[in-house]
Amino acid sequence: MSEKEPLVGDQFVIELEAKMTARTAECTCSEVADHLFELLDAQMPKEQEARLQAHAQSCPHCNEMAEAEVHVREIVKRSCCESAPSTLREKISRQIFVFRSTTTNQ
Amino acid sequence: MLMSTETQETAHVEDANERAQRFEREAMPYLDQLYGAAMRLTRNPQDAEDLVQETYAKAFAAFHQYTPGTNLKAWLYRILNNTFISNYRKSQRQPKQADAAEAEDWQEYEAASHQSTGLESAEAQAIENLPDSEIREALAKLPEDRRLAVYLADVEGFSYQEIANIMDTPIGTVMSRLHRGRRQLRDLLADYARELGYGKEEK
Repeated sequence: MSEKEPLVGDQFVIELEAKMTARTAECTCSEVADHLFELLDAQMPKEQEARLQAHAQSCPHCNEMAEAEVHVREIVKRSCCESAPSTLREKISRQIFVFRSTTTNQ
Repeated sequence: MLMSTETQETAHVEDANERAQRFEREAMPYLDQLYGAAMRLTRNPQDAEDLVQETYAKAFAAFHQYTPGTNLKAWLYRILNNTFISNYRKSQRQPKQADAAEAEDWQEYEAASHQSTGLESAEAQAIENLPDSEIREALAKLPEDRRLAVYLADVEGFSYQEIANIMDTPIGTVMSRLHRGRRQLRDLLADYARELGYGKEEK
């Protein structure tokens, strides 16, 4: 029963791994939905990722959800694209210049 | 000038100057991104400017500790986050509340683990029509820790491990903050889209 000692002292990871290894055969839509974010982050253990991916790719519903999620991420990213005010850039450059001249003049 | 025959002392002075130049060359390209993150954290332009300026001052002063070839962007973000915490967060809330929010994050993640996390493509389509300001406003409504985690992952593309380093938290905490923050943001965005009549579910 307890031949496998958890190596990572991390509640979330242990929980996630237990969930995934317990059900190696079937993969359902709700399982993909539960882990959609992690799946798209491509930071799941490879085996589990492959299992979910296999289902997601052959399931139109999951495929659609994944595309929608990717789409939303693009929108969020786009909306946060900002330029720093040019006055700030100048201020920092000036600051660096002052530091530089004080360090280099002994 | 390549093969310098100058004294060691001069060479040392040159190094400090070169380092300053290297700092400017390598760190300045991240200004817009750091300002974007500072805007998400402070939620107002003046505080964002101050935060970024102080971040660059601290980064410059500590640049000799930065190992060339490692992730400079993550290093700068870590300084930004630490500066934000020590300057802005202290006055805003007590640590107890942060702990409570953390426990709540985990409980909610557990409770939510059988709910659907994603959006329908029609909802995503509706969100596409929202002005950027509405999306930033929704992001501003997330609790600070979740907001930064979502920003670092979805806008900056950092890995869980990098976010854990920047926010100085275990990776599991990053994952639960991200999960919770993304879900909350998507719910808010779907609501906004519906309010504006873009959604399909309006009555």
